[in-house]
Amino acid sequence: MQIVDYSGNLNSKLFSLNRMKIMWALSELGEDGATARQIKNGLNIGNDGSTYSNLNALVEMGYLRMEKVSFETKDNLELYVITPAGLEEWNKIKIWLDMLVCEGE
Amino acid sequence: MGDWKKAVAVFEEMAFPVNCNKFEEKLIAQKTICLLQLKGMDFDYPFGMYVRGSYSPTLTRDYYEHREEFENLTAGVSLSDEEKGLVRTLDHLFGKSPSLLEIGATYAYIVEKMHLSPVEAFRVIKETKGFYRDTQIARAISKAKQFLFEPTENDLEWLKQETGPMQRASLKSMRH
Repeated sequence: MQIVDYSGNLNSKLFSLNRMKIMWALSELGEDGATARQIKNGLNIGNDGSTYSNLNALVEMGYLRMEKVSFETKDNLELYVITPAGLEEWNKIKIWLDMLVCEGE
Repeated sequence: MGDWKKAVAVFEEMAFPVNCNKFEEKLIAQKTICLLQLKGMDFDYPFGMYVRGSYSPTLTRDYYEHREEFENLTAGVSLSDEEKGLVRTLDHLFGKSPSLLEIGATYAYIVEKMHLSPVEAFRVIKETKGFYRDTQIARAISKAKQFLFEPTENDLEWLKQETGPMQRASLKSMRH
């Protein structure tokens, strides 16, 4: 029952493999964040469309923020950083996943 | 916390102030310290593989906590002559190029710490850093090898035997 009750605290829009991979990866990088191309290639997310649709959705939910950064003078890359709200939501999901795992043991 | 004062001394030697609000400068800082640590300089920074490649969250915490020292290059410690030599060699090879350092440090970390073969490491780099051109990847890997992997006596002997006949033929042809 505790698992069902706690799930009421969670945002179900985060429950996709790609979104969870993004949240996990960025939660480890704090203020440094990662660029869209690092996220796409490093997490094997798929094509640009899939990468950006997930990143944009997370930005709209307030879990990530995006800023343009210059790279080797010519490129403007998009850097994504997890927000305090994003980190809080990710921690809730980790607690819930932990509850699920412990339940099965 | 790692040996952030020594890290600042490295950037002082490179004349490279690190502004922790600048993405590119933090990337150069991370990969420089990673390569130097792989080469044997001890900073006590734990590195791991992240979506950005080889990366140390502890170093990140240090350059945020000591941003003034990293920006003004004031740590009050100095490197030994040998350490200064290593820093200069690395700086000469990579020229503070973020892309070469990103690829080179990640490749070196995969080979040295994850114990993957050079072929496997190359495959991982192609997958995770595929947004770089093949020529950039090749140059960066070559520089990482040049910096980290010194040839053994056996390597040098093998090289001498391999290239010896060509060198002799070349000298002979110059006489005609």
